Amino acid sequence: MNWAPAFLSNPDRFMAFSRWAAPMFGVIALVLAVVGLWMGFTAPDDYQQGATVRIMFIHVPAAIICEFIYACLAIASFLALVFRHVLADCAAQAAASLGAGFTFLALVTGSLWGRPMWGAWWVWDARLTSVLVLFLLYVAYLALRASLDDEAKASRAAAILALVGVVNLPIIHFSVEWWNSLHQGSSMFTKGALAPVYLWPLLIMNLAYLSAFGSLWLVRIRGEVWRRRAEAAALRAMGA
Amino acid sequence: MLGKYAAFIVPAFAITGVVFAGMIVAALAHARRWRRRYEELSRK
Repeated sequence: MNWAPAFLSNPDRFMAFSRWAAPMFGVIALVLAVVGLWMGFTAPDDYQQGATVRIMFIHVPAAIICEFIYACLAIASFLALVFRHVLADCAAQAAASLGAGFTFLALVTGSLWGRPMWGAWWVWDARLTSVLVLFLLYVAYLALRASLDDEAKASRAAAILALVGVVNLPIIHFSVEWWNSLHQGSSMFTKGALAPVYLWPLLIMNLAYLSAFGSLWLVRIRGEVWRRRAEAAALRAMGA
Repeated sequence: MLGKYAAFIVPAFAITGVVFAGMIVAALAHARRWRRRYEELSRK
């Protein structure tokens, strides 16, 4: 695996890297979140959405990051399944619980925005339904891993599930184009669709969520590496 | 500042804060617990 990043192929190197990288990403996330929220709360009310536009600053980043996390989960699962890479398996396992958390946030904040704007907490719209399916995929991944005692079997089964679930990512992304949807299309990357007064805090909040995920993912992977090392040490102690 | 929509905006930010806090505490507790366990076992 010469093409893999050096830290990914060596747990010791990864542990040394993540020891300083995890808090660094955490601090970056905190600073960006403070700046983004300050800009978001000082922005004027939207002429259509009113003050609810502020929910967008936490909803859109959660919705974007939960798809990104699934892509990370799928890549890590592929590496774990094909190359039987232990650290990749740790990364996949660590990503799943975070992905579930961010998807939950996307669904709940979207619902709290939808009630005053659409007049409904929930509609069986293609975008909403496909994001709900994403949440269920994360839960199923975690449940599958927890249900099997044999960790190698659990890892393989969960990796296959994660790879099958990749089909949902383009469905989420293009759902607003493929079907008539109540959910609006992407405005963040469409030139002129979003006024700079909303675009900048949104971009900053996206970076804050990305940094937060980076930090939490590294901490979670570290925990998983420690867990596997502890279990290996326990087995050695039993055999001694 | 939040006007008539405060009932939707405040819970959205509150739930986000709680979920973030939960994810941070869970990640740190998980890492700390297994690191200590590994260190205990390594000493034996």
